[in-house]
Amino acid sequence: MFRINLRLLLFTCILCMGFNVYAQQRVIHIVDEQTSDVIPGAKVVLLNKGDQIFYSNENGEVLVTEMGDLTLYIEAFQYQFTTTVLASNQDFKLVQLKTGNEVMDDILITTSNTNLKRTKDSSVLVQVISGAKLSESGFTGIQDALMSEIPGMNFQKVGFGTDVNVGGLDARNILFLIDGEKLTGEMAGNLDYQRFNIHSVDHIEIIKGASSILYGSMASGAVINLITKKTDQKFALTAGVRYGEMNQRNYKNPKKSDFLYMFEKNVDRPNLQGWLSMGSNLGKVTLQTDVQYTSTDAYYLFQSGYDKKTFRKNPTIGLLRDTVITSFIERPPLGIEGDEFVNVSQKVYYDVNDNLHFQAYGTYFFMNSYDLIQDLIFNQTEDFSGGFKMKYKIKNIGELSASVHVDNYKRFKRHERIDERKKLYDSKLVQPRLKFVSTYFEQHELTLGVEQNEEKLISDRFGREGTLTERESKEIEAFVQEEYSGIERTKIALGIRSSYNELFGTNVSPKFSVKYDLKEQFSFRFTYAKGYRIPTIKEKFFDWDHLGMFQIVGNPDLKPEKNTYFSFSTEFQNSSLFVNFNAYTNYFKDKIEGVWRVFEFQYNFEYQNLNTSNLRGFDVLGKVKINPNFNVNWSYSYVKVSKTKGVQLNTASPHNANIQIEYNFSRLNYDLRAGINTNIIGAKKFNVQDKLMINGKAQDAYFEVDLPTYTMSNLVVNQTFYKHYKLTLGVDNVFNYKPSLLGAGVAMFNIPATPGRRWFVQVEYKF
Amino acid sequence: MKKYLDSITPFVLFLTLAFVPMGCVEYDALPYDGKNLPRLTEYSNDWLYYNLREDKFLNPFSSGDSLFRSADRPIVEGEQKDRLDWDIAFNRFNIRTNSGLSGKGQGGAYDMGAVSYESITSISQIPKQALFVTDTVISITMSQEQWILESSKTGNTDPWFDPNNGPKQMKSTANLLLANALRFSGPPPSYQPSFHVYIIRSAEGNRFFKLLIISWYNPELEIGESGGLISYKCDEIF
Repeated sequence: MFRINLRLLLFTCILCMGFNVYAQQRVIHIVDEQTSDVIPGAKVVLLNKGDQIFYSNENGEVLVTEMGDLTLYIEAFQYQFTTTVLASNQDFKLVQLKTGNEVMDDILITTSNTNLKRTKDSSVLVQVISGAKLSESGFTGIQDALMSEIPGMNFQKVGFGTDVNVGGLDARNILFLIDGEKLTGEMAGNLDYQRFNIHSVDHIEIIKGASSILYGSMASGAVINLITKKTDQKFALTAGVRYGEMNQRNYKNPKKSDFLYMFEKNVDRPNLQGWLSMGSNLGKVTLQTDVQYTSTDAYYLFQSGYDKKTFRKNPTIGLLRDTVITSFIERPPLGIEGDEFVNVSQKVYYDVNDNLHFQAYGTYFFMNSYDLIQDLIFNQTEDFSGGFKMKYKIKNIGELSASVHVDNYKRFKRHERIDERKKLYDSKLVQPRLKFVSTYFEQHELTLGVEQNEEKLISDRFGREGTLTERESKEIEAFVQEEYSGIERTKIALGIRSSYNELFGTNVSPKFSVKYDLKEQFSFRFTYAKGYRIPTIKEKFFDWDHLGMFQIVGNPDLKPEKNTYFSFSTEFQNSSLFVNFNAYTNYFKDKIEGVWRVFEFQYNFEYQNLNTSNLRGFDVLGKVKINPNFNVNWSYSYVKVSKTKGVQLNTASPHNANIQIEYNFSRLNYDLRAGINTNIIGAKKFNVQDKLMINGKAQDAYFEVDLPTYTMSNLVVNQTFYKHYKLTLGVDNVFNYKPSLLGAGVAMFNIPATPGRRWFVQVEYKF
Repeated sequence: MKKYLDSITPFVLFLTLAFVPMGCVEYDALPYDGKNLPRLTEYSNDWLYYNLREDKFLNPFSSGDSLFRSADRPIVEGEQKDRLDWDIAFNRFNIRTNSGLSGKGQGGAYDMGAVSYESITSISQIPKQALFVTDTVISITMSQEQWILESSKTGNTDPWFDPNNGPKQMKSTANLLLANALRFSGPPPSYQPSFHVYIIRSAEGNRFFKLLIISWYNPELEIGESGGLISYKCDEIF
């Protein structure tokens, strides 16, 4: 009897252990929905268990030991992501993934209306960069992130800040948004791009081509919309610190007795960044706070030798042979300013019920810019923005959304020896908006909207006396868009926007796009859109005398710049390759440009509507998964820009490419990701307006700038320990590229501002 | 390992939060103990003459092109050549000594290099074989008024300022060595001192002064002003 009981006890124990083992090893099996083939290398994130990440093995299985309900997020290359729940009473879950055909990271986007929709379903080509990817790349700002993703995109530090251009377009044709809201405070179309906190970004949406129908003026070339984080967890926290090697040490031991003591300290600030992102979902109320501090040091770029300007022969002005003019003074070093800035943002969401939602938000940005000019002055920038949003779902009729967005941007000059500052620039934007999206009729989605843009600008550059003067601009805009999906495999979007400006009258912009899925693997998109850009307040009213040397003069008679955009895109994929091809043309009419005009004894820089400018080109984007550990992303862009009266004024490079190689490795409580990202900016040739003395008479002439191809590569290694601690080591500009030519005229706007190879280290904690 | 990582969490959080107040501006420099020019000099030959021996400016109030004599302009262009009552003169960022083509004096300049101003205390520190550089021909910026005046004689209507080549230039005389004391470049306009200590020999050739150009700007500069009241230190050494 005793023996029997012992055996029974032993059997029971083994059985229990077996159960224990079985209970701890819960299996998630991931397969292709159509073929039932197992999917190795799929990424599984346990959303309610601290975002723990697992990868499926060769059998498409993920073994987890966590108990209770598990909320799973699953993604795999060339498949659409999915979320599902492994219930506490389940030990096995079969997950079937649908194939996806997007080259972009396949996540939810906010394109044309208040509903979230997937990029695959969008009738417009949208490129999406996920926030997680930005964080892993060790970038300090969105400039680096966008340059690494968009071939040919360049952010250059120049005299007045940072200048952006891409594919023949400059900042005046690229609209930057945060959560769909505009920012004020532009300088030649450029914003302080430091205002975008890279660590608060959930994802970035990039829409190429004219999108004025939805976004209004300035959306004539591209729209870059940063969607910020909103946590869905009870408590989420990310905190990190990044330290980078100094660009250049300018002063070793600044002393308090130094005349330029503050200047000396400021231009040698450490390359530091700290960030904190905190969110809490308390049921009906969700809070999200993001704080970021960054400082960078200033440095010089050097050119050995003298500037040379090559003028090609032009008998009409008496230039009978090619002529090279060499500058008689050495090119001085080009100072690249450092800066120090803080971003704070707070959002509060209140979900009354499933149908009614409120949001209030506010952001504060403060920046000191430290240039290398020893003039006892540095620039200070301050910005407050905020707003209120409401969404109300009216039964099955549709959803009404209302919002008011305000932004106030100020720029000051601050003394380096006396505690005082002087305001030079104060720009205010108020933008109320009302939008209604109806899905009442099946297969129809109708969007109606009305919004107002009211902008006021106070500047010391609207009058000859340098006094602060206020100017304003006001537009009322209405738009309607219909998306129809009643035809099999086809999605059609048709819309029109009407804009009324008290100075320019009414402007109408239509848009039509269609997406056709030939097969699950093949789809085509065609887009026709009209865009427009209303002249800025500065372009209309600027009146500034630069030390008696020249004047920058606005033109109140400017007409809105208009453009027509056509694009055709298609996608192809097989089991290991994905390629997206997009060809486009963009015809600009009445393009607004600043040109030098010579009067008696006086040069003026004046804004004018030039005749036409055409951009034609194509982009190819691809993604290859070599094996579960290796990914390669690449893109190539070609653009051909028309000449103006035989002269190439546009500084675009025809050929640009990006390539990213990623290696991933995962073990229990340890993840490794290594990546190298290379941007290739092709050679470029353009002309710059100048004056040439021929036979004793000054003639208008253009010299030729010929800039060589260059590449910039970044290497990053991320290690994540215990799912919470991330250590990132990286090297910017791995191959130590330094521009040898700073160039004359506008050439310096096309020189990459890099001090050469610099390493960095980054530590991040995620709760 | 996990325990160790947990312990660094508060450190990361602390560092992150600690950065936020770093954006404050702190005015902790010591008061300025140098000198400033009494007035801004203008384009063309508007020279501000300085007698170092008596620590006195000859024309501290007059301005404009010093071609014509007026009540507040006791010295006009050309007249300085025969006078020994000045040792050094300033026109914008150009500096003359009473030597060479600028004046018949025994003046000149010698560069002691990027050394501390306080470290130069005695003429014995000047190398025995030191060659003092004397004045020669240089280009200076012509005033807009002079350009219009001269152009009207020839019918030339070219602008005074050219976006690629800057304002019109004219020939004058100055000290080439001291041209390095404050170098101009731009745009944007930048005045870069060399922070070298220069030895200035007096017009009579028997006294020596150390000169350090500190800045194109004066410490009390009002925001929006373009500078020109040069900050400098200058003392006689024996």
